[in-house]
Amino acid sequence: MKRLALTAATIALVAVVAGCGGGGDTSGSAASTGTNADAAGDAASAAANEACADANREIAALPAPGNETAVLEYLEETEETVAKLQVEVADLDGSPGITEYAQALATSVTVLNEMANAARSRNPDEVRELSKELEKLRLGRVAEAAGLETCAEAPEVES
Amino acid sequence: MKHRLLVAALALVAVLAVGGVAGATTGSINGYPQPKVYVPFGKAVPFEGRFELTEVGRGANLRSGEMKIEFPETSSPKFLAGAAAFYEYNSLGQTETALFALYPFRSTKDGVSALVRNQGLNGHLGETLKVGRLELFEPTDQETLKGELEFHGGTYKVAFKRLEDESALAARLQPAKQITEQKAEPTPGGWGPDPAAWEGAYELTNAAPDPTEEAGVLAPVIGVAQGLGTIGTTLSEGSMDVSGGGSPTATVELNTGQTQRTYYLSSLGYLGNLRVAKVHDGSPTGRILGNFEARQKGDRLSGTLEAGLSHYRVEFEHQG
Repeated sequence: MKRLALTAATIALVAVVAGCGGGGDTSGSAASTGTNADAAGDAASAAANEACADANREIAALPAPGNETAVLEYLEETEETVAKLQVEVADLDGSPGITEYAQALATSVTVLNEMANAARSRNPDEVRELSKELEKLRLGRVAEAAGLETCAEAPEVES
Repeated sequence: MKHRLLVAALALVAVLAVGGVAGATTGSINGYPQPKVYVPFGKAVPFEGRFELTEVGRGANLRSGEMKIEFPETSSPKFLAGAAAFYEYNSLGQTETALFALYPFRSTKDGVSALVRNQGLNGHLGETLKVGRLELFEPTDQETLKGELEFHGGTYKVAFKRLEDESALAARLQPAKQITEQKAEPTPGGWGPDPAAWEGAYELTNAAPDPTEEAGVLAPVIGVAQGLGTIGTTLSEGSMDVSGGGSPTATVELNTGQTQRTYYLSSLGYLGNLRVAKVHDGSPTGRILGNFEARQKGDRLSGTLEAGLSHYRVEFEHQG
Protein backbone atom coordinates (compact mmCIF):
# COMPACT_ATOMS: atom_id res chain seq x y z
CA MET A 1 0.00 0.00 0.00
CA LYS A 2 2.81 2.28 0.90
CA ARG A 3 4.62 1.40 -2.37
CA LEU A 4 1.43 2.20 -4.37
CA ALA A 5 1.05 5.57 -2.66
CA LEU A 6 4.69 6.42 -3.32
CA THR A 7 4.36 5.44 -6.98
CA ALA A 8 1.21 7.56 -7.37
CA ALA A 9 2.89 10.52 -5.74
CA THR A 10 5.90 10.12 -8.01
CA ILE A 11 3.70 10.00 -11.11
CA ALA A 12 1.78 13.04 -9.95
CA LEU A 13 5.00 14.97 -9.34
CA VAL A 14 6.36 14.01 -12.75
CA ALA A 15 3.08 15.10 -14.33
CA VAL A 16 3.20 18.46 -12.57
CA VAL A 17 6.79 19.02 -13.61
CA ALA A 18 6.04 17.90 -17.18
CA GLY A 19 2.98 20.11 -17.32
CA CYS A 20 4.88 23.14 -16.19
CA GLY A 21 7.67 22.49 -18.63
CA GLY A 22 5.39 21.82 -21.57
CA GLY A 23 3.25 24.91 -21.19
CA GLY A 24 6.08 27.31 -20.77
CA ASP A 25 8.58 25.94 -23.21
CA THR A 26 8.97 28.96 -25.46
CA SER A 27 8.89 31.57 -22.76
CA GLY A 28 11.20 29.52 -20.62
CA SER A 29 13.75 29.46 -23.43
CA ALA A 30 13.60 33.23 -23.86
CA ALA A 31 13.91 33.79 -20.15
CA SER A 32 16.90 31.52 -20.12
CA THR A 33 18.59 33.48 -22.93
CA GLY A 34 17.88 36.76 -21.14
CA THR A 35 19.25 35.38 -17.93
CA ASN A 36 22.36 34.23 -19.75
CA ALA A 37 22.80 37.70 -21.31
CA ASP A 38 22.24 39.32 -17.94
CA ALA A 39 24.73 36.97 -16.41
CA ALA A 40 27.27 37.76 -19.13
CA GLY A 41 26.65 41.48 -18.72
CA ASP A 42 26.98 41.19 -14.98
CA ALA A 43 30.21 39.26 -15.41
CA ALA A 44 31.61 41.93 -17.76
CA SER A 45 30.63 44.71 -15.36
CA ALA A 46 32.12 42.82 -12.44
CA ALA A 47 35.35 42.24 -14.36
CA ALA A 48 35.50 45.91 -15.37
CA ASN A 49 34.91 47.03 -11.79
CA GLU A 50 37.58 44.64 -10.59
CA ALA A 51 40.06 46.02 -13.15
CA CYS A 52 39.17 49.56 -12.07
CA ALA A 53 39.68 48.68 -8.42
CA ASP A 54 43.18 47.41 -9.27
CA ALA A 55 43.94 50.54 -11.30
CA ASN A 56 42.63 52.80 -8.51
CA ARG A 57 44.85 51.00 -6.00
CA GLU A 58 47.91 51.38 -8.23
CA ILE A 59 47.29 55.07 -8.84
CA ALA A 60 46.50 55.80 -5.20
CA ALA A 61 49.85 54.25 -4.26
CA LEU A 62 51.84 56.62 -6.48
CA PRO A 63 53.74 59.19 -4.41
CA ALA A 64 52.86 62.84 -5.03
CA PRO A 65 55.56 64.26 -7.30
CA GLY A 66 57.77 67.00 -5.89
CA ASN A 67 60.04 67.75 -8.83
CA GLU A 68 60.12 67.62 -12.63
CA THR A 69 61.57 64.12 -12.77
CA ALA A 70 58.95 62.84 -10.36
CA VAL A 71 56.18 64.49 -12.41
CA LEU A 72 57.35 62.63 -15.50
CA GLU A 73 57.49 59.33 -13.61
CA TYR A 74 54.03 59.97 -12.19
CA LEU A 75 52.62 60.62 -15.65
CA GLU A 76 54.36 57.59 -17.15
CA GLU A 77 53.09 55.27 -14.42
CA THR A 78 49.57 56.67 -14.65
CA GLU A 79 49.66 56.22 -18.41
CA GLU A 80 50.83 52.62 -18.00
CA THR A 81 48.10 51.84 -15.48
CA VAL A 82 45.33 53.44 -17.53
CA ALA A 83 46.60 51.71 -20.71
CA LYS A 84 46.46 48.35 -18.92
CA LEU A 85 42.96 49.11 -17.67
CA GLN A 86 41.90 50.10 -21.19
CA VAL A 87 43.07 46.77 -22.63
CA GLU A 88 41.31 44.82 -19.89
CA VAL A 89 38.02 46.69 -20.33
CA ALA A 90 38.19 46.63 -24.14
CA ASP A 91 38.63 42.85 -24.06
CA LEU A 92 35.35 42.41 -22.20
CA ASP A 93 32.26 41.46 -24.16
CA GLY A 94 30.16 44.02 -22.41
CA SER A 95 27.41 46.54 -22.97
CA PRO A 96 27.67 49.56 -25.30
CA GLY A 97 28.27 51.58 -22.14
CA ILE A 98 31.35 49.52 -21.31
CA THR A 99 32.56 49.90 -24.90
CA GLU A 100 32.13 53.66 -24.58
CA TYR A 101 34.10 53.60 -21.32
CA ALA A 102 36.89 51.64 -23.05
CA GLN A 103 36.98 54.23 -25.83
CA ALA A 104 37.20 57.06 -23.31
CA LEU A 105 40.07 55.23 -21.64
CA ALA A 106 41.83 54.95 -25.01
CA THR A 107 41.53 58.72 -25.48
CA SER A 108 42.86 59.20 -21.96
CA VAL A 109 45.94 57.13 -22.78
CA THR A 110 46.66 59.31 -25.81
CA VAL A 111 46.35 62.50 -23.76
CA LEU A 112 48.46 61.06 -20.92
CA ASN A 113 51.14 60.22 -23.47
CA GLU A 114 51.11 63.82 -24.72
CA MET A 115 51.32 65.05 -21.13
CA ALA A 116 54.36 62.84 -20.50
CA ASN A 117 55.96 64.21 -23.67
CA ALA A 118 55.31 67.76 -22.47
CA ALA A 119 56.88 66.86 -19.12
CA ARG A 120 59.92 65.45 -20.95
CA SER A 121 60.19 68.82 -22.71
CA ARG A 122 60.04 70.49 -19.27
CA ASN A 123 56.88 72.31 -20.17
CA PRO A 124 54.65 72.16 -17.08
CA ASP A 125 52.22 74.70 -18.52
CA GLU A 126 51.55 72.37 -21.43
CA VAL A 127 51.05 69.45 -19.04
CA ARG A 128 48.50 71.54 -17.20
CA GLU A 129 46.71 72.60 -20.38
CA LEU A 130 46.51 69.01 -21.62
CA SER A 131 44.99 67.89 -18.34
CA LYS A 132 41.92 69.92 -19.28
CA GLU A 133 41.37 67.41 -22.08
CA LEU A 134 41.23 64.67 -19.47
CA GLU A 135 38.82 66.77 -17.42
CA LYS A 136 36.49 67.12 -20.41
CA LEU A 137 36.24 63.34 -20.81
CA ARG A 138 34.36 63.03 -17.49
CA LEU A 139 35.51 59.45 -17.30
CA GLY A 140 33.75 58.88 -13.99
CA ARG A 141 30.43 59.93 -15.46
CA VAL A 142 30.94 57.66 -18.48
CA ALA A 143 31.62 54.79 -16.09
CA GLU A 144 28.57 55.62 -14.02
CA ALA A 145 26.38 55.65 -17.13
CA ALA A 146 27.74 52.21 -17.97
CA GLY A 147 26.79 50.99 -14.51
CA LEU A 148 30.42 50.60 -13.45
CA GLU A 149 30.28 51.84 -9.89
CA THR A 150 33.89 51.21 -8.97
CA CYS A 151 35.13 52.75 -12.20
CA ALA A 152 33.11 55.88 -11.41
CA GLU A 153 35.00 56.30 -8.15
CA ALA A 154 38.25 58.23 -7.86
CA PRO A 155 41.32 56.59 -6.33
CA GLU A 156 41.60 57.42 -2.66
CA VAL A 157 44.83 59.37 -2.53
CA GLU A 158 46.22 60.02 0.92
CA SER A 159 47.08 63.62 1.65
CA MET B 1 60.16 75.61 -40.34
CA LYS B 2 58.60 76.97 -37.17
CA HIS B 3 61.56 79.27 -36.77
CA ARG B 4 61.02 80.62 -40.26
CA LEU B 5 57.34 81.17 -39.53
CA LEU B 6 58.19 83.10 -36.38
CA VAL B 7 60.74 85.18 -38.16
CA ALA B 8 58.22 85.88 -40.90
CA ALA B 9 55.64 86.83 -38.28
CA LEU B 10 58.07 89.10 -36.51
CA ALA B 11 59.03 90.68 -39.79
CA LEU B 12 55.35 91.20 -40.56
CA VAL B 13 54.88 92.99 -37.27
CA ALA B 14 57.81 95.16 -38.10
CA VAL B 15 56.25 96.10 -41.41
CA LEU B 16 52.85 96.68 -39.83
CA ALA B 17 54.42 98.81 -37.17
CA VAL B 18 55.29 101.51 -39.61
CA GLY B 19 52.82 100.88 -42.36
CA GLY B 20 55.70 100.34 -44.71
CA VAL B 21 55.70 98.13 -47.73
CA ALA B 22 59.25 96.96 -47.80
CA GLY B 23 59.65 93.29 -48.43
CA ALA B 24 60.74 91.35 -45.38
CA THR B 25 61.25 87.77 -46.31
CA THR B 26 64.79 87.14 -45.24
CA GLY B 27 64.24 87.26 -41.49
CA SER B 28 65.86 90.64 -41.19
CA ILE B 29 63.85 93.48 -39.72
CA ASN B 30 63.13 95.92 -42.50
CA GLY B 31 60.55 98.55 -43.19
CA TYR B 32 61.15 100.82 -40.24
CA PRO B 33 61.57 104.48 -41.14
CA GLN B 34 64.65 106.32 -40.02
CA PRO B 35 63.95 107.46 -36.44
CA LYS B 36 64.24 111.04 -35.33
CA VAL B 37 66.61 110.10 -32.53
CA TYR B 38 69.52 107.67 -32.75
CA VAL B 39 71.36 105.58 -30.22
CA PRO B 40 75.07 106.06 -30.84
CA PHE B 41 76.26 103.07 -32.88
CA GLY B 42 78.91 102.03 -30.36
CA LYS B 43 76.37 102.05 -27.55
CA ALA B 44 73.76 100.22 -29.64
CA VAL B 45 75.92 97.30 -30.81
CA PRO B 46 75.79 95.22 -27.58
CA PHE B 47 72.00 95.09 -27.82
CA GLU B 48 71.91 93.49 -31.26
CA GLY B 49 70.94 89.84 -31.32
CA ARG B 50 68.29 87.25 -30.51
CA PHE B 51 67.21 86.77 -26.92
CA GLU B 52 64.99 84.45 -24.92
CA LEU B 53 63.06 85.75 -21.91
CA THR B 54 64.37 83.99 -18.80
CA GLU B 55 63.00 86.07 -15.92
CA VAL B 56 60.02 88.37 -15.60
CA GLY B 57 58.12 90.09 -12.81
CA ARG B 58 55.09 88.04 -11.91
CA GLY B 59 52.52 90.77 -12.49
CA ALA B 60 53.43 91.08 -16.18
CA ASN B 61 51.56 87.81 -16.81
CA LEU B 62 54.15 86.66 -19.33
CA ARG B 63 54.93 82.96 -19.56
CA SER B 64 57.79 83.09 -22.02
CA GLY B 65 59.07 85.12 -24.91
CA GLU B 66 61.62 85.73 -27.59
CA MET B 67 63.04 89.01 -28.85
CA LYS B 68 65.14 90.06 -31.81
CA ILE B 69 66.97 93.38 -32.06
CA GLU B 70 69.02 94.42 -35.03
CA PHE B 71 70.09 97.16 -37.35
CA PRO B 72 67.77 97.15 -40.37
CA GLU B 73 69.87 96.29 -43.41
CA THR B 74 69.20 99.36 -45.47
CA SER B 75 69.30 101.89 -42.66
CA SER B 76 71.71 104.76 -42.82
CA PRO B 77 72.65 105.93 -40.31
CA LYS B 78 72.31 102.62 -38.51
CA PHE B 79 69.56 102.40 -35.91
CA LEU B 80 68.15 99.69 -33.68
CA ALA B 81 64.76 98.10 -34.27
CA GLY B 82 63.27 95.03 -32.73
CA ALA B 83 60.40 92.58 -32.58
CA ALA B 84 59.21 90.35 -29.78
CA ALA B 85 56.86 87.41 -29.40
CA PHE B 86 55.48 86.97 -25.91
CA TYR B 87 53.28 84.21 -24.58
CA GLU B 88 50.88 85.90 -22.19
CA TYR B 89 48.37 84.62 -19.70
CA ASN B 90 44.92 86.07 -20.10
CA SER B 91 42.43 86.52 -17.26
CA LEU B 92 41.23 82.94 -17.69
CA GLY B 93 44.71 81.56 -17.24
CA GLN B 94 44.97 80.56 -20.90
CA THR B 95 48.10 81.23 -22.89
CA GLU B 96 47.92 83.65 -25.81
CA THR B 97 50.57 84.69 -28.29
CA ALA B 98 51.25 88.38 -28.77
CA LEU B 99 53.63 89.98 -31.24
CA PHE B 100 55.24 93.33 -30.63
CA ALA B 101 57.45 95.79 -32.46
CA LEU B 102 60.18 97.55 -30.49
CA TYR B 103 60.70 100.96 -32.02
CA PRO B 104 62.14 103.53 -31.82
CA PHE B 105 65.11 102.91 -29.55
CA ARG B 106 66.50 105.77 -27.52
CA SER B 107 69.58 106.14 -25.42
CA THR B 108 69.10 106.15 -21.66
CA LYS B 109 71.43 106.68 -18.76
CA ASP B 110 71.86 102.93 -18.20
CA GLY B 111 71.41 101.60 -21.71
CA VAL B 112 68.62 101.90 -24.27
CA SER B 113 64.84 101.93 -24.30
CA ALA B 114 62.18 101.28 -26.91
CA LEU B 115 58.45 101.71 -27.17
CA VAL B 116 56.57 98.40 -27.23
CA ARG B 117 54.00 98.50 -30.01
CA ASN B 118 51.22 96.08 -30.76
CA GLN B 119 48.95 95.81 -33.76
CA GLY B 120 45.93 95.28 -31.50
CA LEU B 121 42.58 93.99 -32.66
CA ASN B 122 40.64 97.19 -33.09
CA GLY B 123 43.09 99.36 -34.98
CA HIS B 124 43.42 99.72 -38.72
CA LEU B 125 45.89 97.52 -40.51
CA GLY B 126 49.29 99.13 -40.21
CA GLU B 127 48.37 101.15 -37.14
CA THR B 128 50.04 100.16 -33.93
CA LEU B 129 49.26 100.89 -30.32
CA LYS B 130 51.90 101.86 -27.84
CA VAL B 131 51.36 99.29 -25.13
CA GLY B 132 54.50 99.71 -23.10
CA ARG B 133 58.15 100.51 -22.90
CA LEU B 134 61.16 98.25 -22.65
CA GLU B 135 64.33 99.52 -21.06
CA LEU B 136 67.45 97.43 -21.50
CA PHE B 137 70.52 97.95 -19.37
CA GLU B 138 74.00 97.92 -20.80
CA PRO B 139 74.99 94.25 -20.71
CA THR B 140 77.79 93.25 -18.37
CA ASP B 141 78.47 89.98 -20.20
CA GLN B 142 77.87 88.36 -23.56
CA GLU B 143 75.18 85.97 -22.40
CA THR B 144 72.52 88.03 -20.64
CA LEU B 145 70.53 91.18 -21.03
CA LYS B 146 68.57 92.74 -18.18
CA GLY B 147 66.03 95.49 -18.06
CA GLU B 148 62.58 96.68 -17.08
CA LEU B 149 59.31 96.31 -18.93
CA GLU B 150 56.45 98.75 -18.51
CA PHE B 151 53.46 96.65 -19.36
CA HIS B 152 49.86 96.16 -18.22
CA GLY B 153 50.10 99.22 -15.99
CA GLY B 154 53.15 98.10 -14.04
CA THR B 155 56.92 98.03 -14.31
CA TYR B 156 58.53 94.61 -14.15
CA LYS B 157 62.09 93.39 -14.14
CA VAL B 158 63.04 91.25 -17.10
CA ALA B 159 66.10 89.22 -18.02
CA PHE B 160 66.98 87.68 -21.35
CA LYS B 161 69.45 85.04 -22.48
CA ARG B 162 71.31 85.58 -25.72
CA LEU B 163 70.58 83.01 -28.40
CA GLU B 164 72.52 81.81 -31.37
CA ASP B 165 71.19 83.45 -34.52
CA GLU B 166 70.43 80.08 -36.06
CA SER B 167 68.87 78.48 -32.99
CA ALA B 168 65.28 77.40 -33.46
CA LEU B 169 63.31 77.31 -30.24
CA ALA B 170 60.19 79.26 -30.99
CA ALA B 171 57.92 76.32 -30.21
CA ARG B 172 59.95 75.20 -27.23
CA LEU B 173 60.39 78.36 -25.21
CA GLN B 174 61.01 77.59 -21.59
CA PRO B 175 58.76 79.34 -19.09
CA ALA B 176 60.50 82.41 -17.72
CA LYS B 177 61.20 82.49 -14.00
CA GLN B 178 58.57 84.58 -12.27
CA ILE B 179 60.28 87.18 -10.07
CA THR B 180 58.79 88.39 -6.82
CA GLU B 181 57.90 92.03 -6.95
CA GLN B 182 59.13 93.47 -3.69
CA LYS B 183 62.10 95.81 -3.88
CA ALA B 184 62.67 96.83 -0.24
CA GLU B 185 63.01 94.35 2.62
CA PRO B 186 59.70 93.58 4.32
CA THR B 187 59.33 94.07 8.06
CA PRO B 188 59.64 90.67 9.78
CA GLY B 189 57.61 89.35 12.70
CA GLY B 190 54.18 89.01 11.15
CA TRP B 191 51.84 90.49 8.59
CA GLY B 192 51.41 93.84 10.26
CA PRO B 193 51.98 95.78 13.46
CA ASP B 194 48.70 94.64 15.02
CA PRO B 195 48.62 90.83 15.46
CA ALA B 196 44.85 90.88 15.96
CA ALA B 197 44.51 92.08 12.36
CA TRP B 198 46.20 89.01 10.86
CA GLU B 199 46.20 86.16 13.40
CA GLY B 200 43.53 83.49 13.20
CA ALA B 201 41.60 81.58 10.61
CA TYR B 202 41.30 82.40 6.91
CA GLU B 203 39.03 80.88 4.32
CA LEU B 204 39.82 80.48 0.65
CA THR B 205 37.38 82.56 -1.39
CA ASN B 206 38.55 81.85 -4.95
CA ALA B 207 37.60 78.19 -4.93
CA ALA B 208 36.40 76.92 -8.28
CA PRO B 209 34.46 73.80 -9.27
CA ASP B 210 36.46 70.68 -8.60
CA PRO B 211 38.29 69.84 -11.87
CA THR B 212 38.60 66.21 -10.82
CA GLU B 213 34.92 65.71 -10.17
CA GLU B 214 33.53 62.89 -12.30
CA ALA B 215 37.05 62.08 -13.54
CA GLY B 216 37.14 58.57 -12.06
CA VAL B 217 40.56 56.96 -12.26
CA LEU B 218 42.02 60.13 -13.84
CA ALA B 219 41.21 62.37 -10.86
CA PRO B 220 44.68 62.25 -9.22
CA VAL B 221 46.62 62.94 -12.41
CA ILE B 222 44.35 65.89 -13.20
CA GLY B 223 44.94 67.18 -9.68
CA VAL B 224 48.70 66.87 -10.07
CA ALA B 225 48.79 68.40 -13.55
CA GLN B 226 46.62 71.35 -12.62
CA GLY B 227 49.06 72.18 -9.85
CA LEU B 228 51.83 72.70 -12.40
CA GLY B 229 52.84 75.73 -14.39
CA THR B 230 53.32 79.37 -13.73
CA ILE B 231 49.77 80.63 -13.77
CA GLY B 232 48.39 78.89 -10.74
CA THR B 233 46.13 75.98 -10.30
CA THR B 234 42.42 75.69 -9.81
CA LEU B 235 41.67 75.18 -6.15
CA SER B 236 38.49 73.54 -5.03
CA GLU B 237 38.82 74.30 -1.32
CA GLY B 238 41.29 75.82 1.10
CA SER B 239 41.96 77.44 4.43
CA MET B 240 44.78 79.03 6.39
CA ASP B 241 45.45 79.30 10.09
CA VAL B 242 47.93 81.95 11.21
CA SER B 243 49.42 81.92 14.69
CA GLY B 244 51.40 84.79 16.16
CA GLY B 245 54.00 84.94 18.87
CA GLY B 246 57.73 85.50 18.53
CA SER B 247 57.99 83.62 15.24
CA PRO B 248 54.60 83.68 13.56
CA THR B 249 53.75 80.70 11.36
CA ALA B 250 50.80 79.58 9.30
CA THR B 251 49.32 76.31 8.10
CA VAL B 252 47.76 76.37 4.66
CA GLU B 253 45.44 73.62 3.44
CA LEU B 254 44.79 73.58 -0.29
CA ASN B 255 42.67 71.09 -2.17
CA THR B 256 42.92 70.49 -5.88
CA GLY B 257 40.02 68.18 -6.35
CA GLN B 258 40.95 64.87 -4.77
CA THR B 259 44.46 66.00 -3.92
CA GLN B 260 44.88 67.67 -0.56
CA ARG B 261 48.07 69.51 0.25
CA THR B 262 49.29 71.10 3.46
CA TYR B 263 51.96 73.78 3.43
CA TYR B 264 53.56 75.67 6.27
CA LEU B 265 54.55 79.34 6.25
CA SER B 266 57.38 80.95 8.17
CA SER B 267 59.24 84.27 8.06
CA LEU B 268 56.01 86.23 7.85
CA GLY B 269 56.67 89.85 6.91
CA TYR B 270 54.97 92.92 5.49
CA LEU B 271 55.78 95.89 3.33
CA GLY B 272 52.93 98.32 2.79
CA ASN B 273 50.00 96.11 1.85
CA LEU B 274 52.33 93.33 0.69
CA ARG B 275 52.36 90.17 2.84
CA VAL B 276 55.19 87.69 2.36
CA ALA B 277 56.31 84.39 3.84
CA LYS B 278 58.43 81.35 3.07
CA VAL B 279 56.58 78.16 2.11
CA HIS B 280 57.76 74.91 3.74
CA ASP B 281 57.06 71.22 3.42
CA GLY B 282 56.11 69.19 6.49
CA SER B 283 56.50 71.87 9.15
CA PRO B 284 57.34 75.57 9.49
CA THR B 285 60.99 74.55 9.71
CA GLY B 286 60.82 71.95 6.95
CA ARG B 287 62.28 72.12 3.46
CA ILE B 288 61.62 75.48 1.76
CA LEU B 289 59.43 75.02 -1.32
CA GLY B 290 58.91 78.62 -2.41
CA ASN B 291 57.38 81.95 -1.47
CA PHE B 292 54.00 83.25 -0.42
CA GLU B 293 53.25 86.75 -1.62
CA ALA B 294 49.90 88.51 -1.36
CA ARG B 295 48.32 91.95 -1.17
CA GLN B 296 46.02 92.83 1.69
CA LYS B 297 42.86 94.81 1.18
CA GLY B 298 40.63 94.96 4.22
CA ASP B 299 40.15 91.42 5.47
CA ARG B 300 41.22 89.91 2.16
CA LEU B 301 44.59 88.57 1.06
CA SER B 302 45.10 88.05 -2.66
CA GLY B 303 48.29 86.63 -4.16
CA THR B 304 50.29 83.55 -4.97
CA LEU B 305 51.74 80.60 -3.13
CA GLU B 306 54.66 78.82 -4.78
CA ALA B 307 55.50 75.29 -3.72
CA GLY B 308 58.08 73.62 -5.91
CA LEU B 309 56.50 73.12 -9.31
CA SER B 310 53.08 74.17 -8.10
CA HIS B 311 51.85 77.74 -8.20
CA TYR B 312 48.55 78.69 -6.65
CA ARG B 313 46.54 81.84 -7.03
CA VAL B 314 44.96 82.32 -3.63
CA GLU B 315 42.43 84.68 -2.16
CA PHE B 316 41.79 84.38 1.55
CA GLU B 317 39.31 86.13 3.76
CA HIS B 318 40.21 86.66 7.42
CA GLN B 319 37.61 85.05 9.64
CA GLY B 320 39.11 86.36 12.87
